[in-house]
Amino acid sequence: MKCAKIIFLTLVILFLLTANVQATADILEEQKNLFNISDFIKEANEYSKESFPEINMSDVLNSAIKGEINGDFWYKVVFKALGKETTNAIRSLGLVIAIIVIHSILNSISEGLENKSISQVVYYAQYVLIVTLIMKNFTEMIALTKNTIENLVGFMNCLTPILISLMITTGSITTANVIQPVILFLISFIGNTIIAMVLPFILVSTVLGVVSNLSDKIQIDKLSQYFKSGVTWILGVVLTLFVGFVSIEGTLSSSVDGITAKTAKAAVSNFIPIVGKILGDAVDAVLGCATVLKNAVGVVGVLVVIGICILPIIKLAILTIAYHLATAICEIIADKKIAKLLEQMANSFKILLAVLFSVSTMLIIGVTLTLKISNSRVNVQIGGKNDKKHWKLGKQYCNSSNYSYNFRDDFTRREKQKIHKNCIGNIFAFLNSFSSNKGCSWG
Amino acid sequence: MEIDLLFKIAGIGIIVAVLHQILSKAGREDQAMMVTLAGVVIVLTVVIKEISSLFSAVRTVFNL
Amino acid sequence: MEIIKIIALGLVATIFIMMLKQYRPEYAIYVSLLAGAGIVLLVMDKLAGIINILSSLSNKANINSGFLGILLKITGIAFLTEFATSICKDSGEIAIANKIELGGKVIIIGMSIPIITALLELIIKILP
Repeated sequence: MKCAKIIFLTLVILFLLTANVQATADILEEQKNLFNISDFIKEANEYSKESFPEINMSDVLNSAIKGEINGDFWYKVVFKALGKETTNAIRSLGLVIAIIVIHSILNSISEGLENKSISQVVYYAQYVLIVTLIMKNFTEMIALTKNTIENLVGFMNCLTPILISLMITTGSITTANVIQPVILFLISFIGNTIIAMVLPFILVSTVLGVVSNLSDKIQIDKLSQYFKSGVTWILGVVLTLFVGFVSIEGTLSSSVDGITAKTAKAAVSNFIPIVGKILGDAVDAVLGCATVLKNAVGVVGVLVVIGICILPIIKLAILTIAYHLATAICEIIADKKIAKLLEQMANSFKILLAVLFSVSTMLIIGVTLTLKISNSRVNVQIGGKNDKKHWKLGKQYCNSSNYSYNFRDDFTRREKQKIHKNCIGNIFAFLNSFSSNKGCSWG
Repeated sequence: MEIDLLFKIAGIGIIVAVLHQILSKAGREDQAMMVTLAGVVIVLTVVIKEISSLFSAVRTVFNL
Repeated sequence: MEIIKIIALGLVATIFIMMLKQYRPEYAIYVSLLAGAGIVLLVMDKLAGIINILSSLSNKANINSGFLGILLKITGIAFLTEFATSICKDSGEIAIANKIELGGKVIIIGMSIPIITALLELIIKILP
């Protein structure tokens, strides 16, 4: 009788083990469906369509799950964008330089005449044409920046819930609860601040620069410089705030999560008889799959964020370089006010580039930090060093409650029943006391 | 062409000056005056023709 | 050599004027007028060539060709005004010279009003 029972149990255990091993892929699929990953993939495809038209995000997700990240398609996209933007920039700057050359010739013809008003009129005509060209570029760039930041915020709004729910699955409950409102609020706050305050500042400072270079007598340079330095300051503060918030909150709550998750696992695998260990391993597998999925989703998210902003960043960078070059060339052949105008435009483009760059860096850092924080306590092993500490603490608690038994010893039937009856109620009390020692709650 | 015109005008001027001197020395003041005026009119016609050609050239070049 | 022709014309005219000034000063004005007209007519073809190049360059660069036309007209007006005022000043009529210059300036500003309005409209357009 006893033999048959043992054989039956062994068979059951073997079956469950093999089923566990082969079911990883199934678990992944099930989790994917659970979290509406397909909707997320659709959104990600939408957002990254412009920059990576031939990359399907679900392929990237699947390959990231397997652990391989293919970076080849980067170079193709980057080089193609570089080439296109360079030709565009050179074309528009060639136009500016042609206008300046024509007007220099006209000026030299009319220089001999004593009439000063003609040279002023020629300068005004030149100025109008150049400013028309430059403003077309500039308004295009500001619209592009605004669109990119809106896209980024929108995408983060759709990535963050999935990441948070995956984080909860892998056990970082406290972290998730603390980080979710903070991240969502910060991201939309920063996005709105930039669109509503920083971009108009940049626009106003550029217009002031244009107006101040109109004539020698009216100089409002200092005002536009002031606006520009204000923008830089705001950017720095916002960036520091974001990174500081995320890392502090993450560090505080990730240690809590580590301990609670490990304790829950230890409790499950040690208090429930026979199937306890198997249940613990199954939980391990599920947690592991969820972690893999979460990391893959995070990788996809980072890729999409980079994809959204890499094209505008390349465009802005090339325009900045081209305008600086044009300033250097025009200093020789044209009036010094024109050179100053071109230099101020180049500075404006540089600030726009800094804005976009810092927003995208902030988002990437945020996503990566979140991933790292929740990864820092996933690898739980029974029998590790910390578990011994848990057992000691648990033993102390149980000893203090007048129950003396050993966790590791084999269970006799009577002790099993005792454990069941008396300790299931104690488990939650123990866990609660433990978490309240750390000053947070299950919430 | 221009140098010839210039010489012509200068020659007319010199001739008128000499004639004026001669006639005034000879006592015919009024004729001297008339000779001077005639010289001025002749030179004026020539110069006005030149100036008008100058203005029309400038007009065509500068699209006035 | 064009430049030698110009130099010769100018020097010869100056000598004549010096000569005529003592006897018949009125002829001096004519000589200087003629000399000026002659020199400008000499270089007119080259000037036309330069302006053609400018217009073709601006057409190729897709610039609003109306602006270039206005600028050329303004240059022409300024040049003619300068011509007249310098001859008046040489004859000692500074008042008339100043009036001519004033007239020229007014006409130039009148012709350049479209440019200034375009500039102001542009600035107003880009203000948020």
